[in-house]
Amino acid sequence: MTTTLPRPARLALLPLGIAFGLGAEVARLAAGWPLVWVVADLLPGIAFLVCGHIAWQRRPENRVGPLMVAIGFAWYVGTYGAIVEPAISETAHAFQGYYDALLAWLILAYPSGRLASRSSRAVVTMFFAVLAVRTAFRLAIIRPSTEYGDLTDPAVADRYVADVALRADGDAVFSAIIALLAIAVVVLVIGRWHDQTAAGRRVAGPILLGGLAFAIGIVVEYATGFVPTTNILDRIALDDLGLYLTVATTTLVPIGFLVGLTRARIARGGVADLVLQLESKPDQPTLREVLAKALGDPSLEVAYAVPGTADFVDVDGRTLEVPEAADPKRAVTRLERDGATIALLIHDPVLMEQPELLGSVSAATRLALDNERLQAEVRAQLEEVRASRARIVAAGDAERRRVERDLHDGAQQRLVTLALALQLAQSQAGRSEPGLPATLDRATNELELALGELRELARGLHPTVLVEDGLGAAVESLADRSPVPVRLIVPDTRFAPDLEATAYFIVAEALTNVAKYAQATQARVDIERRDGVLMVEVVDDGVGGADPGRGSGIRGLDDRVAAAGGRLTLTSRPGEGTTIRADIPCA
Amino acid sequence: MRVVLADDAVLLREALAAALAAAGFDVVGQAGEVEGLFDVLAATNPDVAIIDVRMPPTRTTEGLDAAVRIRAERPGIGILILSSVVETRHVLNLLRDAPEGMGYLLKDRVTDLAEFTDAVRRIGSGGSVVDPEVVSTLLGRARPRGPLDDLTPRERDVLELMAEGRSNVAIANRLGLTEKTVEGNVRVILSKLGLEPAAEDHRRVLAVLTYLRGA
Repeated sequence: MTTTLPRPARLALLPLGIAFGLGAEVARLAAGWPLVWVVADLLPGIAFLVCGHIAWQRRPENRVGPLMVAIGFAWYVGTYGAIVEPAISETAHAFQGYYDALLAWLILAYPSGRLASRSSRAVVTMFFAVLAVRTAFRLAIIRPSTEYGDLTDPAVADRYVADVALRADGDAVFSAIIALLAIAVVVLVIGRWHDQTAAGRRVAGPILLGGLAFAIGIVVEYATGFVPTTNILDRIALDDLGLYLTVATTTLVPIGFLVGLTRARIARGGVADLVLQLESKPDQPTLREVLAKALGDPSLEVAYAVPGTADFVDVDGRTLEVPEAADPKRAVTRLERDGATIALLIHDPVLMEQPELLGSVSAATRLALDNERLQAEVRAQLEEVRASRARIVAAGDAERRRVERDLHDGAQQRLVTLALALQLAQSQAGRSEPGLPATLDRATNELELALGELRELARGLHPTVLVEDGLGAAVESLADRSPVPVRLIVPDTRFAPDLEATAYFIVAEALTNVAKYAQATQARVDIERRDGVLMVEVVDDGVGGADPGRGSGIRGLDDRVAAAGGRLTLTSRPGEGTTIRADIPCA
Repeated sequence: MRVVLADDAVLLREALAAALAAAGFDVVGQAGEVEGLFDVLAATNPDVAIIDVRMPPTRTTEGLDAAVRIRAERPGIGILILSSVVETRHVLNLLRDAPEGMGYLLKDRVTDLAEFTDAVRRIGSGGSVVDPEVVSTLLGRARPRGPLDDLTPRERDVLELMAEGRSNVAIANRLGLTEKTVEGNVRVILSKLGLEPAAEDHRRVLAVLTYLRGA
C-alpha cells in the first residue's frame, strides 16, 4: 500500500464508489425496504468516499485516504444482499461487514496511516482474520433454500433447519468476537487519547472520538440482540435502532475527519496572529511561547544555531540536545536560510501530520528570525554610525581646542613679544631716523589689529570660557556680545565636555542667526536638564520664516545633535519668530 | 616701583621685563609657574605682581587662583592679571572682594607701553584697572531701554573711563575737560543710574561694573 494509485484512478474511484453505493441502495429499494432505511444506509458510505477522496488528494502517500475510500466501498457490499438472485445475495452476505475491520484500522492508524503499536496491529489483524473466517463459514454453510431440494421432505427440511440453526449460532459467535474486538478498539483509542499531546489531540482527536463512538456502537448493537423480547414488533424496533445507531456512529468518523481538517485550517489562520505577535513584540511573549500556542504543542522547543558550530542553544544560551531522526517521541523541523540551518523546531512528531500548519509556522518563524537578525544588524550599524559620528564631533572639538590653544600660546605670545620689540625699537630709533617712529607706529597698529583678529578667531574656534567655566558662563559671554537683548535661563552646573560644546554651539549659531536674519527685538535662551535630557532652546520674536536648509550652520548643528543621540527642531513660521530647540540625552 | 612677572612664555616675559625696566620699573623677580611665583613674592615683596592667567600645569586659570591666594596671603601686593581673552566674569570675581590694587588687562595691551605702564602704576598705588574691552562689551550689551539710554554721549564717555578704573583727573586729561566738569558728570551719571556716590575710585569701578553687568 506504500505505492499509490495514479491520480486519474484516484479521481475515478469517487464516482465509481458512489455509483456502487447507489446501485446497492436501489436494489434494496426494489426489494421493498423502506425509503428512510435506504437513505440512512446510503449516507455513511458516501461520507467515507468523499472524505477519503479529500484525504487522498491532500496526502497521496498517506494511507488514510485509500482506507476511507475502501470503507466507503465495503459499506455497500452487504447491501447487495438485498438482490433476489441468490448467488449475488449470498456472496454479498458472506463478504458483508469488512468495513468494521477497515474502520478499526483507520481509527488506530490515524493520522499517520501506520499502525504504530503492536497491540493495534494485533487487533486489526484479528479483526480481518475473524471476518475472513466468517466469510468462509458463510460461504460454506449458507446456501439458498432452493438447493436443498424438496423441503416438504422431512429429511431435507431437517437438514435445512439444522443449517439455519448452525448459521445463526455461528453468526452469534462471530458477532460476540467482533464486539470483543470493538471493546479492544475502545480501550486502545482511550489509551491513545491519554498519550497524546495537545497537538496530537487537535490533529487526531475528532477521529478518535468518532472511532470511540463507532466501536461503542458495535458493542451496543450487539447488546441489543440480547434484549429479551418475544414481541416481533419490539424486535423490529430494536433492529431499527441498531441500524440507525450503526449509521450514526459510523458517520461520526468522517465527520470527525472534516472537523479535524477545519481545525487545522483554523490553526493555520492562527499563524497570522502568530506573525502579528512576532511583529509587535519580539521578546514578550517569547517566540517559543507564541509558536507553542500556534502549533498547540506546549513541549515545543526553539533551538537556535550557534554560528560557526554544530551546536544549538535555547534563547537563554543553554545547549539543547537535538533528537535523533528516528526518535519516535520528538521530531525536528529545520529552518534554513541560504542552505544553512538557522534554527530548529523540536516538537511532537504528530505535527508532521499537519505539514501545512508546520510549514506556515516555520515560514513565519523564519521571517521573524530574519527580521530579528536584520533589526539587530541595523541597530548595530546605527549604533556604530552614531558612535562614529560622536567620535568625529569629539575629534573636531578636540582639534578646535588644540588650534585655539596653539593660537593663544604660540602665535599670540609671539605677536605680543614682537609688539614689545617694536616698542623698544620705537624708543631707541626716534633720534637717528626721522621717518622710523611713524613706520613703527603703523607696524604696531597693524599688530594690534592682527592680535584682535586672532583673538576673535580663537574664540570662534573654541571659547576658553566653555572649558574653564562651563556652559553657563560661555552662554552668558555669548549673550554679552549679542546685539539683540537676550534673556538667559541657564543652569550653573557643569555637564560632560561634549554635551557642553554641543549646547554652546547651538546657542552660538542660533544667536548669530538672530542677529543676522531675525530682526528680533529680543531673544531668550533656555537650558534645562530634565529626566536625563538636556533641553536647549533659543527663541526670538523676529520675522520667522527661517529655512532649515539655509546655510551649513543649522545642518552642522543637526548632525552634531544627532551624533549625540538627540534631536534638533527648528520652528519658524513667517511672522511668528524662530525657535531652535535641541533635546540631547545626558546621563 | 618694584614689580614681579609671572608667565610661562619666557620670551614674552623677558621682553616685557626689558620694556618695563626701560620704562623705569624695577623688575625684581620672574616666575614661570605658580609655586615659583610665591617663592619670588616671599623673597622680594614687590609693589605689583603681573600674572598671566594661563600657567602650568593645566594652562587654564592658574593665574586667577594665584591672585586670590596672593590677596589672602599678601594683601599689600597689587595684582595685574594678563589674559589672552576677555572674560567679564573673571574680572568681576577678581574685583568683587578687594578691588583696590587689582587689575585685569588683555595681554595685547602691552603693545601700548605707555598705557600699560600707566596701568601698572595705578595698581601699584591702590587703584583698579579694567580692560577697555571688558567695559565696552558690558556697555555694548544689548539691553531693554533703561537709565543708560538717558546718558549724554559725554556722560557715556566718562562712564566708560570710570569703569576702566580711571581717576577723575585721568578722565579729565583724557577727554580734555576740567576736573570739576568731570566731577559733575560723575555725580550726574551715578544719580541717573541710581548708584551711591563713592569716594574711592575702585569702589566706583565695582559699582559701575556691577550695574552694567546686571542691567
